[in-house]
Amino acid sequence: MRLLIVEDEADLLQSLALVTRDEGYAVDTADDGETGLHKALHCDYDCIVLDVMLPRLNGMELLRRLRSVRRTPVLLLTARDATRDRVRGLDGGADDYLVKPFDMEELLARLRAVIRRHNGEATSCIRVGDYEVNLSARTLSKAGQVIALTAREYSLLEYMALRRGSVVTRAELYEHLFDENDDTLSNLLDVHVSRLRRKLGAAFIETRRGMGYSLAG
Amino acid sequence: MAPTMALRSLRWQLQLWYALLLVAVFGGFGATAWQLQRASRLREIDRELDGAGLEVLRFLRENDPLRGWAPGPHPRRQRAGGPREPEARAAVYFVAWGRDGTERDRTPNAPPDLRFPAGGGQGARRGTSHHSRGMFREVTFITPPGDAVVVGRSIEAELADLGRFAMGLTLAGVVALAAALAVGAWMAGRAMRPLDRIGSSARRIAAGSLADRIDTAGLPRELETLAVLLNEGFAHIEETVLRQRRFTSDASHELRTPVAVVLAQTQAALARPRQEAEYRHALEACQRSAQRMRRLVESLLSLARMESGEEPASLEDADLGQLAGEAIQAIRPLAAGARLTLTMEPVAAALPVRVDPGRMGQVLLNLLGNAVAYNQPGGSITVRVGRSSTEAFVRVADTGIGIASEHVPRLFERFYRVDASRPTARGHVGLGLAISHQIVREHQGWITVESVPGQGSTFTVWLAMRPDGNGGTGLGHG
Repeated sequence: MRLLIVEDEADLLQSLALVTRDEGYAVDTADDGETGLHKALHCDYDCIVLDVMLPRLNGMELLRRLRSVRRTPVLLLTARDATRDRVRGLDGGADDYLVKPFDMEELLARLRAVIRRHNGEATSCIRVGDYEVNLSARTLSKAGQVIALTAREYSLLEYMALRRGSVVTRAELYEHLFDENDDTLSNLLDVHVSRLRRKLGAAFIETRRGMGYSLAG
Repeated sequence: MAPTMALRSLRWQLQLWYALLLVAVFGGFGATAWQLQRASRLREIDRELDGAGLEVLRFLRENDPLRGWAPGPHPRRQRAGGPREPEARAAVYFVAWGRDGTERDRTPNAPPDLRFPAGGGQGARRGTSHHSRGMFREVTFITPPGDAVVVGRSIEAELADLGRFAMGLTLAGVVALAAALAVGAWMAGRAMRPLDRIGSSARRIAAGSLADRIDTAGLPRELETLAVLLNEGFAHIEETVLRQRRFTSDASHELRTPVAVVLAQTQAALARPRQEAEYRHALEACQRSAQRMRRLVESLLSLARMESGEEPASLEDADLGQLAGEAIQAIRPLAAGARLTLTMEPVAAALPVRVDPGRMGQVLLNLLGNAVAYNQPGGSITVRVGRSSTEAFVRVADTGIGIASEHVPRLFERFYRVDASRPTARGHVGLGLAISHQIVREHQGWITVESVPGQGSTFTVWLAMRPDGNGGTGLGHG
């Protein structure tokens, strides 16, 4: 899952990026509205965490311009907590709204919920064959047994599980699993795929030659 | 209502005075009517007694014992005992005395306590006198030789009549008083109703519905003036309260971001074991946030103190040029760090002002600080001090990003940000200009702003000059 965090307060941006990366997200950052809009328009993020008060282009305006092009889920962050402000944010196209100061746990939970809803899942549990992906606990289990995965491996699995039944291209996987600082030319993706196959069985991830991958079951 | 409360009520006071006035009027009127009635009745009786008395005197003269006054019935005596006149008039009696005081005749119905009048006797002044004696009205005749005759009759019936008359008057008075008081109470109530309306509006407003106003439609003119004045007062209060509320809410919003940073940094750092450098980074971020909160709190406190008048400015004689020079020295390292040219135009003459040097220095530092923070690379800051006829000024001109004209009027409002897109100058909490404005106003001066977006802004502080430094306060500006 790839996030864009747009926040002008450097210390807040840094800790948001740290925590979300810890959770296995690929994270891009922007510290002003213009850069944020540019990035948001040029990449298919799974979610954008957007501060309302931004230099150069404020969050509401960014959201308005983004919405004319993309449906990317947006979680607004703001110091304004009046009902009027919340209503304005949600009506302006935001998917959720979080008032500063907030707890990281809540931010992460809301992020998961926004992404889950955007992918049309009603609950946090997805069944793929014999396996069960728990989106809130970020675990994969089989018959109640949790299978140990690294954050990246889980992210890859989660992304494919949310698109089970359809083919996911390599380009798409690169776009959603690696952030702007990762080297997209590396063979990291192949490494993660082969590790997952080793843990879950070679047949679990099918290779569609010339197209990409899909989950079995 | 407690008696003291009742006495303090305008309505009850009005009622009380009204009642007292009515009692006085009715009382006076009734007493006069009664007196007139009594006098007229007595005059009537006196006339009757005079007639009877003359009759008796004539009889006595005709039967003078010295000339052979024969005792015996005389016409009045017979009449006195005879049938009454149709109206129930009390019988007339008389007693006659010789000039030596010997009783010469007395009708049987004469009161036994009737004695020889003091004015009688030899050498007495003759004449007629009327007087009341208890239930009797009597006329005393003294003849020239000194004989005396007293003619009288009971006036019990007339007195009873007069008593009934007084009773009737009193009753009528009481009824009229009650009626008048009832009407008065109703009218006072009516007159007070607009006051009640004003009062209930004021109560509602005091209870918190600040936007409420007294409805002035249909108020009497005297009260309308009052209501309009009160409404103006309420509008002022509403504005003050709303500004205060906005200020509090803005202040708490300003605190949200640094608190968010502290929470996010600590939660991120504690989420899992970290490298030492990461902990250090988190602590530094927390420290920056805490510093920012400290600056905010200090600014808020200094504004609050100034507003409450807790710490009045300690005014001293100073030279504005010198103050500006000191501020420039203080800001020079910051300007140099930002690669800005900072110049002060030469000062022609001393500019004596009376200011709190600490606070005025704060104003100048704030303006210079803004000129640095909102400048453009390679820009300059020019400071000029000078005077008009009565005011001295300091002008800080920068070649910065400028301020769009629509923002200028609100520039000195607390927490007013020109817009979020302005790169936030580090450490600014949005109160600097508000504080400067407050300080300058405290000195009876004012700040003017001219700005061209993209070219720069010029802030000018105007202060009244001391009349040539001879100790006058020089703060005569309103």
